[in-house]
Amino acid sequence: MLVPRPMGPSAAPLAAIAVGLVALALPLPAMAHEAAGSASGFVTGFLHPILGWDHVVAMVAVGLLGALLGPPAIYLLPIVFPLVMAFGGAAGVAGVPLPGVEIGIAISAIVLGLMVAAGRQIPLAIAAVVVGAFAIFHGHAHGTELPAATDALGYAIGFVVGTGLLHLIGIALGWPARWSAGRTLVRALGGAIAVAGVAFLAGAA
Amino acid sequence: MSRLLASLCAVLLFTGTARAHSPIPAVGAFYNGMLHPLITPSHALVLLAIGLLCGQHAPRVSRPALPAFAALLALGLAWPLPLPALAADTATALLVLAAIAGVCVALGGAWRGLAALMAACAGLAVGLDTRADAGPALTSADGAGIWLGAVLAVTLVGGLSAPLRRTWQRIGVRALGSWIAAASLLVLTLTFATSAGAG
Repeated sequence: MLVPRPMGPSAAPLAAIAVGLVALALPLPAMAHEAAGSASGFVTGFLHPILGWDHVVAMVAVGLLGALLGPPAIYLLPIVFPLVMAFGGAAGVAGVPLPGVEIGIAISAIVLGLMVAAGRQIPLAIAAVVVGAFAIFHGHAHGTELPAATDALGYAIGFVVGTGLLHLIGIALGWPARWSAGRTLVRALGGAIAVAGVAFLAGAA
Repeated sequence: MSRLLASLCAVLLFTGTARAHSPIPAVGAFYNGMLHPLITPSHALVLLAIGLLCGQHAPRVSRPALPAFAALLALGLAWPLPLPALAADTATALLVLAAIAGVCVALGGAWRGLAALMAACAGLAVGLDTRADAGPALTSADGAGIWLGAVLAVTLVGGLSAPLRRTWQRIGVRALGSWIAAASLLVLTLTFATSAGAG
């Protein structure tokens, strides 16, 4: 009788490669910033980060990173990110130019994915600075489209809530990191996010 | 926490264009008034922020803050026309108050005096903004409904968030505060950018 064997350490790289290949096969062109014409209200704002895969993977990576680092990062990153993102958004609203926003967003997926994949216990200050720096790019991208929204407040609430929920999904996906096998899986997810980031960069550059 | 999140989602999903002054037929002026603070996004946002501020460190903060909010809201609603020139900027003031209250919630400090001052200013701003919007059309039934709706909203949010004492629950409340602050800050910037562009 065949008895399923538990996944040993040697299976981890295979899992990472499998997830990476799936990630390579799945990415579609980033379409986060094509809805300016119809941007209006809460639903548009809410869907903005969710329908842009570049935003999705980076936000999930923030949650994964928080889950991997554990307290207090798991609590602080989702609180700090929206506040810093708001400053990036304010710059976008005010028309302050930020070169290479799309490239910055793609690089955020690569860097945050690699930080998760590395699985190292990074100091909280460094993690906060890196996450905060990329929050500026994401906020700027959202903020640039804010003036086009007919209901600016609804749009702003929508995209902040959408971003926060993506963090929450990342934290939930990172929950298994408390166990050895789960940690490997979370690191593999980080690797997949980094690969997806490379695909976005290839499309954005 | 789940009830609080459900309430928040309900407010966020169902907020839309303010319809306080195009009353829902057969509901009556009083109930239309009660709905007004909940379906006006800027009012709902500041009420949510003040409610969280009150509940986060209840009863220490809520004891002075809730009566201050209720009293100044009544004053704002009853303010005789014509309104002072300052009242023209109540929409901006609401966003400023929501942003500051959101940051206070995100930081998690129990600043009793500041919270009471914020609640009083929020009450006055909501009252004056409603008064300026409605003008002479605001009846006493409208006003009573708006007052009760706003006070109930703040009390309900405060009452739901007060028992949230577990670490993850408190962090959830602080995250909500950061979301409120972020959204308010963005729209505030848009307001200033638009007025600077027009000027």
